[in-house]
Amino acid sequence: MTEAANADIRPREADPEDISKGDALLIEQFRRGDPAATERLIVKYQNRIYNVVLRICADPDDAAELTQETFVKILENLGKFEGRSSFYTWAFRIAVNLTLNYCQRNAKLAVRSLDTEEEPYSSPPAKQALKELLSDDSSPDPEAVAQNRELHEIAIAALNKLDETHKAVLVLRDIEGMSYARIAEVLGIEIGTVRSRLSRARTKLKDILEAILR
Amino acid sequence: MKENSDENKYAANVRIDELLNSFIDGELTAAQQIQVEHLITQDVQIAQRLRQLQRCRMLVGSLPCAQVPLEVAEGIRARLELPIGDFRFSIFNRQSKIENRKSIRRVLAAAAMIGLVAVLAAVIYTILTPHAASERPVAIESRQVRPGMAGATSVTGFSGRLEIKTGDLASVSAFVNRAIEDRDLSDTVQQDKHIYSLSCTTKQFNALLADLETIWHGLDSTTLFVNTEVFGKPVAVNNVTTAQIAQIADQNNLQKRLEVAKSFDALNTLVARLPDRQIQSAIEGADNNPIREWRAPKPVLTSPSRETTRKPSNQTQEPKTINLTIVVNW
Repeated sequence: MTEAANADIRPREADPEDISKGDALLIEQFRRGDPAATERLIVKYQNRIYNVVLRICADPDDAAELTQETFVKILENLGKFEGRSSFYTWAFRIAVNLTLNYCQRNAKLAVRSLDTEEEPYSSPPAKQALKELLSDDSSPDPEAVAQNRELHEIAIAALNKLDETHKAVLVLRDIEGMSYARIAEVLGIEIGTVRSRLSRARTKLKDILEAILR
Repeated sequence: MKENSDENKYAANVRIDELLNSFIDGELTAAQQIQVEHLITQDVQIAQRLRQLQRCRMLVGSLPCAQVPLEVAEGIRARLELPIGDFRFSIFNRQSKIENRKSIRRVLAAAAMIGLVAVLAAVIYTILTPHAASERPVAIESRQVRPGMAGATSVTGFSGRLEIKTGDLASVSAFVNRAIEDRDLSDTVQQDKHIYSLSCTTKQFNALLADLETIWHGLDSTTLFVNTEVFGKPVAVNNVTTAQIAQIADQNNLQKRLEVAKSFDALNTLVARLPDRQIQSAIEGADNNPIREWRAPKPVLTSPSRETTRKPSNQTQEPKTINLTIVVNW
């Protein structure tokens, strides 16, 4: 049963321990003033951080700026980094905090226009694809889902209907593949809170997707 | 009674959802996992709920990995600017200063006062003193560069970058954009998001600075980078004011411009370190500030014989060009 339950999980995420491998050496080289180490840190993490930021803030331009700001902060403060958490956790903490702060600030200024825009799932093929995915009779193939652009648009639109704190926990788990313990470290909350927040987020997402089909 | 029953049912559903989600994520203990597996085999509805949650997870996890735009890495390099060795050095310098700050604050304040006087004197001397005459005095008909002077001492337009940091990025950027449009500089501006590269005359530039002055005191930080002859090694003027920018840009040659820029930077650094910033507020607030207001032409030396040098025809008439990139950041 366990195997069946986890069969749909794409092996997109590498083990965070593997990701972190070599970071200590890069940081040491950075401290010795090796410019190549900075370059390697940026190249190693820029896509991962950009993706998490993009899925939370939902705007590619803002995500690019926030990613840039994240790396500037990381490199400015790397001298003070004490290694109490891994570099990977620390870097994502900076990225997520910056993004959530930015979203909160923007939420006060911006009027959300999502309701007035034409939803991507209004097209019949998109609805059909979603119906097949959620149907209890079907056994969806993860590879096919990963290739379906219409389903991606639905997923993004549904994610954007969640509030940022729910989005953050869902993105860190389902896109970045972090464990609950690591999410707790990144967000500075208890594991129990991660568990309940993630559960609420996924349940809400399920409700949003079901509402699309009604 | 019914309300209590509904509440209990809701709480039970929430608890079951948490268990199912933790099960999907492999975050249960072995004992809990066995319990959930048992639950799924016993209850069709729970098994169905598990499948729905799994599919939600599959959908989010299927989102393709977006590639970070190339400008991001370039932007990081541009923002950090200094070679990494220097950068690290500056970080550790700053840390050690923080650690020692309490013990040296009084000494620093006294030294700052002395230094401020010295820098002010140097700035005034730099601006007011006529060119040193190595030859006999010469009458000059029109202010210009003498023929034969080249490189750092030739007449050149100003080139640099102004970095503005603010907590209200959108409003400040919109203000800058509007000011550029109001001054009819839109045609000369290459605009990226919050980055404005403009090319204009001194007159247009001063008008733009006058507009920016209205928001200047609300900004978090303002740094002017004056380009030098060595690419990538600009002279930075921290906490720069609009009056200082105008004065730096107004210098007729690069050497003078860099001297004035360095003097202003030293001055601003000292002023920022002073307790209570009395002098900074005095400088910022005083309308009769000699640095800000002084606009007198430089002294012109004449000789009894009225020997003159004429302007070369290929110089002088062109207005000075200002090339400035304004970057608005958090």
